[in-house]
Amino acid sequence: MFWSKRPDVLNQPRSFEGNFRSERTLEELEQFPSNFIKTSRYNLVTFLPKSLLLQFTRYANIYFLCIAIIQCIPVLSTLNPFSAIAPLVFVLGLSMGREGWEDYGRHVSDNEVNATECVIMKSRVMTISTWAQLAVGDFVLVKQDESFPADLIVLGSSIESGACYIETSSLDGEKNLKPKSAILESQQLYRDKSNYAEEKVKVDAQVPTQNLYELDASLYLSVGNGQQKKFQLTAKQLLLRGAFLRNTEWVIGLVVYTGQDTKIMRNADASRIKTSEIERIMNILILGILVVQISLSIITASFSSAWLHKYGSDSWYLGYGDFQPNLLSFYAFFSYILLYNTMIPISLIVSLEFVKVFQAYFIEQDEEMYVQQRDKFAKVQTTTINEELGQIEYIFSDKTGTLTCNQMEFKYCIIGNTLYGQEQQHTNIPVQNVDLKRQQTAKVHPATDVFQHSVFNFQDLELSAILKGEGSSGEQPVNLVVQSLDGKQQVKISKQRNLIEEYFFLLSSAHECIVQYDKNQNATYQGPSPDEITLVDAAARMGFQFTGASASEQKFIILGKDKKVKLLKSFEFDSARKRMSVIIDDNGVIKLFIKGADNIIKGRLSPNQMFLNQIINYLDDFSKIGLRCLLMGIRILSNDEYREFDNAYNNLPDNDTRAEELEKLTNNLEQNLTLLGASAVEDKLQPLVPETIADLLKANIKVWMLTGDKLETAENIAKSCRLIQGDFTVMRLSESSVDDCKRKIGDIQETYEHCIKENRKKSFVVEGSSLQFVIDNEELAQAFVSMAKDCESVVCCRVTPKQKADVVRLIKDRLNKITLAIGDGANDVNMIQAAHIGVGLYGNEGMRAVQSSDFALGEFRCLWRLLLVHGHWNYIRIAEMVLYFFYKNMIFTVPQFFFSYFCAFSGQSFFDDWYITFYNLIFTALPLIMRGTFDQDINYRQHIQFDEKEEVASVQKKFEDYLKVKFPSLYFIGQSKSIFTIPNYTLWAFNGLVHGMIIFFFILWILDYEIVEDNGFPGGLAAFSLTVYSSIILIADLKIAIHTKYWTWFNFICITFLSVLLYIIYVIISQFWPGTLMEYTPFTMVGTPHFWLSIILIGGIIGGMEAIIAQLQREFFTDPATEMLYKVNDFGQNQLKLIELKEKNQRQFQDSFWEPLYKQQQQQQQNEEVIKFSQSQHAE
Amino acid sequence: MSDSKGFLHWLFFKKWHPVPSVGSTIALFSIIGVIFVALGIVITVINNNIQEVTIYKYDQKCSPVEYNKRCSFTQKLDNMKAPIYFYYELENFYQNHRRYVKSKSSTQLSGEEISLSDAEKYCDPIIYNKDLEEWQQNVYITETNTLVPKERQPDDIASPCGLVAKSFFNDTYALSLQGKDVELNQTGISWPNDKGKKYKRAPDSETTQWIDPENEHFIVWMRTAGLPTFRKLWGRIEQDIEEGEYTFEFSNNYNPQMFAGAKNIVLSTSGPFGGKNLFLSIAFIVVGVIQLLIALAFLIKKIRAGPSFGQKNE
Repeated sequence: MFWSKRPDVLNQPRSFEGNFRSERTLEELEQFPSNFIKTSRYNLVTFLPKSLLLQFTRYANIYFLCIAIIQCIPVLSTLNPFSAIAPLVFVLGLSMGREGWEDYGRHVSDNEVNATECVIMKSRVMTISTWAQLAVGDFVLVKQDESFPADLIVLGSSIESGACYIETSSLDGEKNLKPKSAILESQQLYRDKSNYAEEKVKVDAQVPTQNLYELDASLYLSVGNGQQKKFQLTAKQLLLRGAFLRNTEWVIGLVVYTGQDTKIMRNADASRIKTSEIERIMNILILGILVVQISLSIITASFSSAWLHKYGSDSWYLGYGDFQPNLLSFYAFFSYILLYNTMIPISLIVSLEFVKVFQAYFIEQDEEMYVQQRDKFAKVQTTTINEELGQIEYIFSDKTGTLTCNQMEFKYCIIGNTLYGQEQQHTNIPVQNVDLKRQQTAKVHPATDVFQHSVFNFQDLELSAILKGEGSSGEQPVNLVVQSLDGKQQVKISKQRNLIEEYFFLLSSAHECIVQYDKNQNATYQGPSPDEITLVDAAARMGFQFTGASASEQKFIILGKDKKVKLLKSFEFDSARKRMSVIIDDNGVIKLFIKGADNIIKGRLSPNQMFLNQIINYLDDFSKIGLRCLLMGIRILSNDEYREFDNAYNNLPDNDTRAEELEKLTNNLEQNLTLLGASAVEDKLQPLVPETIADLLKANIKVWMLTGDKLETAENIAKSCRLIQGDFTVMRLSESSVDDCKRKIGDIQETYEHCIKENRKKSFVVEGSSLQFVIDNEELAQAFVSMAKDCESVVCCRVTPKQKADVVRLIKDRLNKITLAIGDGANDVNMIQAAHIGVGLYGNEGMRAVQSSDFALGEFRCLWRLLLVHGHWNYIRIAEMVLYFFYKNMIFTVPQFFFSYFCAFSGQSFFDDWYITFYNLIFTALPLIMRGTFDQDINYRQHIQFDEKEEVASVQKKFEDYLKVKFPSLYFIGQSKSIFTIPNYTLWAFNGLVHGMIIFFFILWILDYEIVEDNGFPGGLAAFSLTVYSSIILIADLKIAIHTKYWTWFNFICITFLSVLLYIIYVIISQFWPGTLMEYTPFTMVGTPHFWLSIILIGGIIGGMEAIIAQLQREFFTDPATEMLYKVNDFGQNQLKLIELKEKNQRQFQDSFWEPLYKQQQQQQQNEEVIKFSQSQHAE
Repeated sequence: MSDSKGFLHWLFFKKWHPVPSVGSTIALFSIIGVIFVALGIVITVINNNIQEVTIYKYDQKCSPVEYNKRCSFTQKLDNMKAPIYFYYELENFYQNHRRYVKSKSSTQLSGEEISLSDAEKYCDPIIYNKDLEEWQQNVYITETNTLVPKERQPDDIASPCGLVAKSFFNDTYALSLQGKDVELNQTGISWPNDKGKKYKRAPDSETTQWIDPENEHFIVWMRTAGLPTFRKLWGRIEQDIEEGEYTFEFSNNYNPQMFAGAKNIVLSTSGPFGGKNLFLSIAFIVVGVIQLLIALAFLIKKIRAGPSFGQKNE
């Protein structure tokens, strides 16, 4: 690539002119970044130095490099330099290989992308060019289904109105089409792609940002006479690089941002590397060991000095010419640093990485976390924090789409004073994969039918009759008059029928949905939120069908007749506004249609509303059963009023304050509304949500629900998903000022203390505004956290995305507890990133949450398996693996340390060089990795296949069910961090010390200077070393075997074949390895009784010690998992025996043991009935 | 899991989840305990049949104590059964010293010529003939341990070079009972495979080497000991010997005072498990007995506590 002065990014506002010929001077080129994109990090030359440098940002690698360097200095080195370099090269090679491979992939895709062809308009002629050659100011022609080469401003479209549709799935994962549109004036100029006027075009654009839905720019078009007019541009005119053009034949766009300035590149975050708690402590321990290593080396070196001073000059056979004991003991220090280096587990980090990747693989393969509806398995995006899944103390959950399906059902509508929709049938959505247990989901069926946001079971005979023009109730007088403020324009709604028509017309007009037609010309709606789609869909089904829109027009088929209205303005919904509105020109009457959250609309109504009281009554009822309600309002504008507004709108300042000003402007407009009616939409709970939450609570995980819903709705949803259970005391905080808040918190504190005294369960419900006071006020925050941390559940309602993240941080920072956030929408991204572990759900609101998460799941219920099973196991696996790693390095280093006494502290290695290298790298690596991947303290799945005999199978099933019900009670093991603790670590290290000493000294005393064979040969160093080494391998494998609770064939194969057998093979090889200490030793040694007697003795002593300790532990300390297994095994076996004995009379024995299980099930059933009951009651 | 994954499924998920019980612990300890005690008893019996005589600091038995001289002493021995192994034992000699262990060239010892740089690398500080002991400089020691005078260039690379070779233990012994020689077989005393494989004589051994690397005493010496007090096999008496006053004649060449140590002679018979080893027998019996006691303790507790022992909360 040629060297260029073009900037990589340009973080500045820009002003440029359209370049019709696509010709530029070098100077002009250098003004903006090139559209050539480089995501790769290295090229052939820079790969080696750069990636090496990256590797050496890890402390461990620096350390091992130092060791390798010392090892290369002959005076200091006790070992073959290669034996230190080999593992380092291996570890580095592995990481660098991966790095290189990934970068190669990036190169390939970069080249592909940069060489993609696009069409540049040069003097109105289509010219094929590549993406890389594009520059700011070029005119680009993009055809249907092509993707945009850079961020463009759409100037003209094949669609007359200037509209075009883009699909942004590569940016935000959203599959639905987004309408974009050229401004009318530019569409006029560029409606013809081969014949447009090449008149001066100028763009002022702001600093490029990463917000996909923001464009702050203005366009200057020639309006004749060499004059230019300024037009404000919005995100509506922005075509994003990487997005596809759909449903539109072609568009002409002006390149505004290129290369690294484009939104897609600005959004490409560097992946985060998360470090788990265990790894953090592990690193500290490694540092601690480093200190121990250095101190031991100093001790040994001083002994060396003492020995040299005493005997050194006497020992003629050591051939000291110029005898310098101090220098020699200084060398000895380094020599022992090298020898004690085996204490530091070089392969631990690599092994952990492997184990975590394997664990992640099994999480991803888990069929119990498969969600058929979305055809999704769990996905692990951050593999470094698997074990933290087992340590969660707080879960922060979004509500919509997470606890609920985000599948809406249009339930009721209130039009005027009348409630419609009470006759609908209770047909539920198809029963989903409810059964968590093994069913034959084995064959994976991809979901065949497309997910529907909305469910429509609405039925109301009266309403249908009115709309058909039948019945008399439509003729009831309403006499509603809606007037513009200046009174120049008014609309009279005299009958209920007119009101209903107006209401449904509003539903079909005030929205941001677009229509898509499938092969059969059936219309489906796509839109930004399922609520919206549901309402438009409902309107369509009632006969008010929205058939399409352009930038300036909306089309409908209303009760069979075509209708067109002018679309003047549209103000989008966002989480702050909580409302959306359109201004249309309906046959000369300018109407503002608005729908929004009840509290928002309520505050904007003009006084003296006819229907308000009745509607509010209904809404109160609705929110009790967790329905989502919206209010619909209308305002009539006179032409003057509109013109005034339009002028103000067009003259909005073109700077940072624009958004604010616009907000003020619309805020003023959306006032003095007249209420027409309300809608109630049901948000369905996802399958098994209540059960999952109940189990999470049982596992002592505190669950917090964060939602934008209002307090009552939120509390009700919380009740229906058992976040608040019958016996909970609910404390509510919903105050509108800091002082009130303080007072209220004081009251709550009393209640809270009362609960603590009586040991009652409690739940805290907080509203967004109060929450803000809490977050901002240190005193309140402390009081809140001190109470909320112990509440079984907390519900935060009416919270913004930012507040969600603030709440997570409140707990994470103050309590130092491990948190998990789960959500499905873009509004959860903040929270997902703030928590220790972010879980994204594949939802209907796009992929943003999934993209920024560490784990992605199909449904909330998968959390059960992810945390309580995988998390639980992984914590135990990783924690024990780290402990074991330190242990096995300890038993290996201890003999080395004691041997120093016997070799005059001379720095002689006790083991052969390559034996040292292979110890960690090969012989002990695989069994440990396998154990770290597979071990399970207990699994509720005890049978791969149930017995064929029904009776036996039923006992087996009960057996498993019992374990499963009890499973959450084991979660505390990881939560209380009970395995990887400093005392435990000390215990294991001490264990290693004792075992190492036993091995070394016992073998010393056995072999000593004894005759090792009946031929009279004495042993010697090599024989001694080989026997000790073999014993260490045996003990290392024995220890791991004793601590393996869950044996698969794979574990067995790894221990026997990949550890012991490999060792035997290596021993055979070393017999013939010239120049090594072991040369010609093993064969003879293996033939001697002393070798085997040593190993048997060591195995017997240490094996016995371990067994007795394990047995005593079982007796005196409770290991809940084993105990559970005991109970269930014994009972299960008794049951099976009984079945065998009394095959025909099995009703005679009683089921007392399973009682807890049944109680739980009954409880669940009861709860479900209560919920159903409350729902059905309301429907009546 | 589909059928195609059957094997993997079996490999990964067919599992054994052992739940250790008190019963199995008792059984395990009993079995191991019995085996250990039995082994211990066998080893003890064998040990009792093994005879071992150590003659400490035999160089001090010469009067006057002089080195590089032949010398003799008498020692009473009991009846011993063949084969009887004859060892010399050095104390406080660090054959496992790092500087010492690495100072040899295995290439050279396997009969190949080495370059000066290799000699410097591996054999430092004993590289040239002149670095050797004086008695080693102009001599060739044959396979059968006889010394043949030979002129050598002091600046040639010593072969074998290095500290281990240089410190070669060169005492020789002869044993007689009332003037009648007891034959000491000095062949087959090195580790199998060492001779002829690890240690090979160079093609023109006599002219280039100061000792034949296939000399078994040399090979025995070169297999460095693991501890500062060590024994090395010197010869084998292949006949039973009777009780009597034996004369030990030896060339008192090696001076242990130069390393503040001592040199001893050990005569020992061996059994099927090698030499006399009290530790081994005691260790097996003690460990076995402890394990049996543990098993017993568990058994008693199990009987007393009834069937619920080991299954709490039931």
